Amino acid sequence: MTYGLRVWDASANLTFDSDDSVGGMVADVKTYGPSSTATLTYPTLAGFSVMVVPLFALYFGDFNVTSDTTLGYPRVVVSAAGYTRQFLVVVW
Amino acid sequence: MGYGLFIKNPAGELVIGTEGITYGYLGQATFVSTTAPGTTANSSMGYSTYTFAFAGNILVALPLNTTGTCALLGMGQSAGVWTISVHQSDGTTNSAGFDNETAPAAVYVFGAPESTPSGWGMNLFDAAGTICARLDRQPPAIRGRVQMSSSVASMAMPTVTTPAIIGGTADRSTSGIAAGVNWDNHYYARGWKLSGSTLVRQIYQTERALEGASAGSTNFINPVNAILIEADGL
Repeated sequence: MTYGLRVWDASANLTFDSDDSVGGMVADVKTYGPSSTATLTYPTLAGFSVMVVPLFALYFGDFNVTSDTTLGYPRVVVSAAGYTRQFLVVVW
Repeated sequence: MGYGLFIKNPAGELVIGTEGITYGYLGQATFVSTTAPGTTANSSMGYSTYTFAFAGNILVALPLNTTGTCALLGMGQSAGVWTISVHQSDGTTNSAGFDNETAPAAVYVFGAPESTPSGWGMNLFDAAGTICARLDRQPPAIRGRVQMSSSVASMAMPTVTTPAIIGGTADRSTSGIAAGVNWDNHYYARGWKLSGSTLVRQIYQTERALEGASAGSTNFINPVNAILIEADGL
């Protein structure tokens, strides 16, 4: 490791190494009711990719939350759906 | 970014930063009970219930295995205790078509950073002065992104010793079978299962209902994202 971050616990066990971390960073955690709509933007994260991760198994096939970087930074669009959505915004 | 900290991996991907929320490992949830699935044409799937005491928000990761399908069905907090509902199939189905239920090997719980800094290690603060990472707790060891587009039901797994997953699908399938004057409607969702070194979103029956109209024949496999973590040692 030439750069990055390593974390050890109080017993000197390595518990985190940024070299091994592949997948991204949680930028946000959100909950929206069935009829709620919203547009979330993250201009301070310009240049990074984005995806949304539903936290639960959803049975009705209408998650209706999308993400993109059309603006040059992450954007999440929440449309109305049949029930409450809870999700992570992950950037990398 | 005019201030703060970004930590990246060697590929330049963001790992931890002051523009994010770094959850920390709290422990395994406590098993409460397993409810068996129904056995009739008017019944529901089985599930297991867990609890975990924590005042803040949590993320739950479920271990993946080749035996049966898993899915996080829901969670809610009351008086500082989270109740977590999980589906884990034992790999068999009963006479009504439901997965037979077993308790998952573990339910891993990660917590949002608390508002008070830890007494040691590193604390990160966001622009509002709120703690966004407390590294006295082990961050999730993220090892890969699941990004399946519509109608894609599997992907190759990265190398992970004890894989666990954060995230659920938003799929739905139905079938209606004529049953006298009624319809024996079957409703399905999808969860996660390993098949060798492949991650599969596996169909499972959530409900059967005798109804006056057919549920029709549908099979929605929608785009889905999730996070794979290394749970070895948790």
